[in-house]
Amino acid sequence: MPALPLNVGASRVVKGSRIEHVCGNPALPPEQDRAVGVQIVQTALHALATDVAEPTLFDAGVG
Amino acid sequence: MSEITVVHYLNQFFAGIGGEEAANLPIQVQEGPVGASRLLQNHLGAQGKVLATLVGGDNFVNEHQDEALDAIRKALRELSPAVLIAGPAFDAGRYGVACALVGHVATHDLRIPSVAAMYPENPGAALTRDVILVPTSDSPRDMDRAVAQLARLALKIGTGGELGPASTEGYLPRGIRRPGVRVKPGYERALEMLRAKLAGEAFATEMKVVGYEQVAGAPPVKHLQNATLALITTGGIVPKGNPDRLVRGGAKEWYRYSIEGLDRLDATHWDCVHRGFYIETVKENPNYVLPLDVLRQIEGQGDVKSLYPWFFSTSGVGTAVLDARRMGEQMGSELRAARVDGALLVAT
Repeated sequence: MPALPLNVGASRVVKGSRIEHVCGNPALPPEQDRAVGVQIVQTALHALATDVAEPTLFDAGVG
Repeated sequence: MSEITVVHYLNQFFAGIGGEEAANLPIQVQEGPVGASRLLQNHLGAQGKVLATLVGGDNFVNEHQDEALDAIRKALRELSPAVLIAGPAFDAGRYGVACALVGHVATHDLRIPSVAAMYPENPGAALTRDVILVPTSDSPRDMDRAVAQLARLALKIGTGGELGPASTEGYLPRGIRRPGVRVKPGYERALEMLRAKLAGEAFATEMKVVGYEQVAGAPPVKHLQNATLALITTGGIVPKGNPDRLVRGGAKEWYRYSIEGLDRLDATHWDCVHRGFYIETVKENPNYVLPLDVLRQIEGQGDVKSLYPWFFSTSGVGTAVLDARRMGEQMGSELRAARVDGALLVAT
């Protein structure tokens, strides 16, 4: 739900999977569920290491 | 006066369809007033008629924004009401954002005047200037008064009437100044304000600065391999039994819990306390909002040096901005003192 934190000015925002399971997707088989979590956390690490001038969205590319 | 036509936007809860379990509901168009719209119809009386109620699940509208707004646009084109009314959303963040977005589509895209109601600190309140916003309290106890005010303003703008200033009409200031003539010239008013301020008396500014405080982003963490990271969540993760009695919403406090020696958070020892989202999935697997399992793997690979041995937790729903700022400052000063390089915060 990235519109909300970007709107209030959070500097680095990563789009998660869903509100009910931000870092994973229980509808997927366990390995893929874990892969979604890894992808989101790795994107967050990338965001931490990136210079930003304004509220910036980092998309982990997972639905 | 002939009656004006109204379309009312509600979320799944106020339409009487369901709570968090129904929050993924796509946009529905229901004929006539439904749920809280019946109260609106009462307040409109014979002067206005609710043609249809548009209902959207809070998650759906926020997560599938384009699809949801396309459906709203299509419905509004077909119904062609004189005015769109949204909410009241009170302090519900997703609902407030949805009301602002729907109002924006009506007024900005389709030139249908719109009025919504929400708590002034609702994130939706800062999204658009196109929608007239009625301020409400943070709780549905304010429902009747808020809906009466929505109806009053809707009848005014729906008949092409001009609204007066925000303070006299009872809507939130939008930062719009209109030309007009005041009784006294500017320099006299300015001097009166200055005199009142110096004397410690009350005065009303003519240029109120509102909006969220802008906080500059922290500089990037250059070398993640040498970095210690902390985990924070507003998803309400607590040890089983909730020993600190973290509240489910409106939290003013945060708590720290040790993750030293843990590879993941298991459902036998950890729980979730939060009234803002459907928590059953997280109760079964708390790592979905505090991804300790993934971070231990990343730590093991050497991608980061270490994790701070405590995580910070609160329930991020209905917390006032001032409390949130204080909690953030408290967390920040602990992390700074402990020489933590960066923090990952998971919000739900």
